[in-house]
Amino acid sequence: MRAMPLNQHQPNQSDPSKQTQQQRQPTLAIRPAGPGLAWVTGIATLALLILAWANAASRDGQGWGDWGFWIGLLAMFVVSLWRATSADASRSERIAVLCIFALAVYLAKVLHSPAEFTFSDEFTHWNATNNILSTAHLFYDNALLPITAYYPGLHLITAAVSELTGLPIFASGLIVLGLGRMVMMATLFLFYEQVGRSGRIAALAALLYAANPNFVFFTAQFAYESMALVLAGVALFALARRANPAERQPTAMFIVAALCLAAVVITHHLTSYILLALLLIWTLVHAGVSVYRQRNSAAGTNTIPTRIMARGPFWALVVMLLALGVWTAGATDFRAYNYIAPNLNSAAAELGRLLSLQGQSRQLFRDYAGGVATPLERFVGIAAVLMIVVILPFGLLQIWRRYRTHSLAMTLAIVAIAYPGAQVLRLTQSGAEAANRSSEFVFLGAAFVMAVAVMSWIKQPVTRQQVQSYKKVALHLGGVALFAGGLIAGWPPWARLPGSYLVSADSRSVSLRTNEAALWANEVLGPGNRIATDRVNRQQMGSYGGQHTVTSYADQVRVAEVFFAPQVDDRAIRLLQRGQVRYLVVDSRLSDGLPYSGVYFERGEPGTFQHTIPFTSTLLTKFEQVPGASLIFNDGFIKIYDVGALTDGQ
Amino acid sequence: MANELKQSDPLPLGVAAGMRPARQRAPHPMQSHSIHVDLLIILLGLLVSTVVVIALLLLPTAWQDMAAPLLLFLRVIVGLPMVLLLPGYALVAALFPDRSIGLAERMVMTVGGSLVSAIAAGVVLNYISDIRRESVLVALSIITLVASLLAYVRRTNQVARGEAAAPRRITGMGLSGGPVALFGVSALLVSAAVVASVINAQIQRDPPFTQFWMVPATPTATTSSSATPTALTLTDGKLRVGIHNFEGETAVYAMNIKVDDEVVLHAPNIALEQGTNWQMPIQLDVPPTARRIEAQLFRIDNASASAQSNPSAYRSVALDLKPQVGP
Repeated sequence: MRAMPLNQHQPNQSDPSKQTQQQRQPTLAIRPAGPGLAWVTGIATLALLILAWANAASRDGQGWGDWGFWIGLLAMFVVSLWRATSADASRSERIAVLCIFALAVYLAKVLHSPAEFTFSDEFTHWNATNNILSTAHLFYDNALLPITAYYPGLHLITAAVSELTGLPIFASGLIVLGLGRMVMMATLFLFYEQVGRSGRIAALAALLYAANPNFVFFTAQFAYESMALVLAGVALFALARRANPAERQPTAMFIVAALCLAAVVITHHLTSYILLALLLIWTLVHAGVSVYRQRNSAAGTNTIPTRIMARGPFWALVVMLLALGVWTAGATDFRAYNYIAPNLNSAAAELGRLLSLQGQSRQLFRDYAGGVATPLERFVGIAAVLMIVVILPFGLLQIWRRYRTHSLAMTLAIVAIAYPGAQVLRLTQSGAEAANRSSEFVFLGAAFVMAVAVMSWIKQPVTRQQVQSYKKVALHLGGVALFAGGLIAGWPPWARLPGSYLVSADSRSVSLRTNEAALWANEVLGPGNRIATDRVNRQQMGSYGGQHTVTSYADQVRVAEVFFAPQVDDRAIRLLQRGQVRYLVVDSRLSDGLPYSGVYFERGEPGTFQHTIPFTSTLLTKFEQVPGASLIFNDGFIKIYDVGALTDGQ
Repeated sequence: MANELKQSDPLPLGVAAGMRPARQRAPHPMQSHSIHVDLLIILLGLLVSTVVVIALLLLPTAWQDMAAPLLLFLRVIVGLPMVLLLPGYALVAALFPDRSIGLAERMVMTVGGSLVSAIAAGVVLNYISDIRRESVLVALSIITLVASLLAYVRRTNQVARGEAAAPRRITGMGLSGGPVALFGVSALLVSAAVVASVINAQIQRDPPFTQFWMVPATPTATTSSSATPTALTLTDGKLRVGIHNFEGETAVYAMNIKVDDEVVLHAPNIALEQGTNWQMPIQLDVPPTARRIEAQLFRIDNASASAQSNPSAYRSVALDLKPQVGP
């Protein structure tokens, strides 16, 4: 394939007046939706019914729930892929299909935990929202994760809905994020449409974005990043639209983008930093493209700096920097740096050790409790990564040929290049989380590059109609593999469906027993007591229980060592005194097995992510023999000790 | 639909879907009024929301309790648009008075603008007032009103300049009766699935259990996260003891309370239905030399556990009254 000459392929961004002459009048009326949308709706509904049944079966311990889960979820994806990328679908139909898909996948997460939040982070953000409702102010101490108090975007929206509707935080959060997910999917389409100039590419890219490992569960949970991604999507769409020379309201689009960028800064630290980096790359690419176009075009009259600042992302970058500076310095006092830096340092150090063949690599497809993924899951997981790595170069080539003077397309290409590097990080312990957390951002570029590659391939003329049919089948099979592979890589099998109790397994450890213990603490002991406990009870004691849970990251006291100590000796008591701990909550079920999340209490505990033998029961019962420790609550498994006599210094 | 244009791929260079062409024509006499219909609907919605929320605030508590589900439904109906739609729609109307954006773009920016408004209102309220129902209502109303006013002024100016486009008519997404019925049936089925899942998830699957607890009558609970904990104290021998039954059935318990291994109180028969709790303040005559108060709970409806025949308690808790630091 020959590269098109520069003056033939993409819009001349310096001369909008010429563009208007070429414009074909866009559709003003909405075309009939046709039977395609009905099929999508019907199959998505059927898929949700299967998922509801699968979740119920899994709660009752029936093994087929896993199959129901995959059938339901993949059916939603396939039917959406079929219709949204169909050549005869109208624009409004593509958007409607994507919104239905977004809502259906979100409901799949809701059906997992329909009665209450059960994901670990959700308790943290429930608590942050509850603090706003109960104190009527921001920045109230949230011991579960102190940084969340300084990024209250999601909490403010949920609190406003809760205040005005009277709904509890759970219901308000579900509504806010459900709406947000639909908006995000529609926004992705609109954004990619601006970049790719094609509804089919845009729809495919939006659906491939859903193949990122965090789409189904992680970014659907009630957490600040979920909302920040929605706002970031609207901001990017508005900026992409503003960059279009045909846009007649660039200032209004800039205002929309600026407002959303500022809201992202208030909502989530990491998303705002990555958005800043993206805007920086875009600005640099835009400058490079402007220089390139200036040299290749004699007609241009604007100077290069004027071009860079005219409709490029420069002013958005300035707004982002200002908003970040004001909020980070004024409201958060640079707390996010202290929160993120250790994780990044740890990942970098571990990667360095791995590259120098000194570090311990992480075993893929094996959870911390010793479980191994099925051969089929391993195959699909690896196949998905390989497919992306293979497709990306073709997509990058197409982008260089067709979009190299389009600064935003080139920016997305640069973002996509980060994908293979992120996969290397998965081989290390700390890097695995960094790789996983970066996927929702890297896929912004990777999805577009893959969509361009795939659509170029699909549209290549073929001599036989049969070949075209094979291509479509391959597109759908490949899409399913990518979507399933992403989910396999991002969410462990035991967390995909509800079920019986597992040790330190977040949603699988949350139960009536832990809930009721937390509610008891709030009612009988009163809120605000300083409590030390394990990872799962901490989330509930710190939220529904209203207690201040003592941790190394919030209080700089490694109270986990008290639980690991063979006996409550002077060192353990000093730790409790440093943490001013009043109550110990001990769950004897910790000795049932290895922790699925890699830790029993918190990161930094002895054997973090490398436990090979279960926590021994004697370590948990040792408090019964300690003079001064009173056992005040006992439900058979969960015991609460009052250790005020040990820690008050008397 | 012969006059409709199909938007096939790729889109023309330099233009993206959702952009409407510029209109350069004189306004229809009726147009200057009809272009503000959406703003009137917004203001009407704002008025209804405000009236309902304020009325509910003023409603006597007894009435609120009587009609709780109905009032909740009413609040949801008016409260959700108030936060998630009206401010954003007004902002978008103010920013794009010429209707140059398509329906999808308008919808995503409406929700985006509303989310931004809720965040901005909360941050500002935090510094100048409280984030409460009334203040949130006022803040969002101000944003909606000001933006609507701005939209009105800008649209009116455009009409005066002859630049305004006619309001876009939305005709049900081009759906006929069949698909609309399918959407309705789908919505009903999905709602039923969610409700069934909620009921299913609330079924107790944990192994049956009973909570048993004992604390001093006035536990010296700290009230702030930085307060120093204090030793357990027993004021005048007053205790509180409680039982909460999660056995999945009615359970009958017996309870002993011992001071230094001597039974000082025996409650022979405490019957509790599933999900109910029982608690009782207890006054004990505790000698100053006492070291330990222990409470034991027995299940006497179970043949294997009896307060008399089986010395092994079903649950036990204990207060250590003479703490000694160190092992």
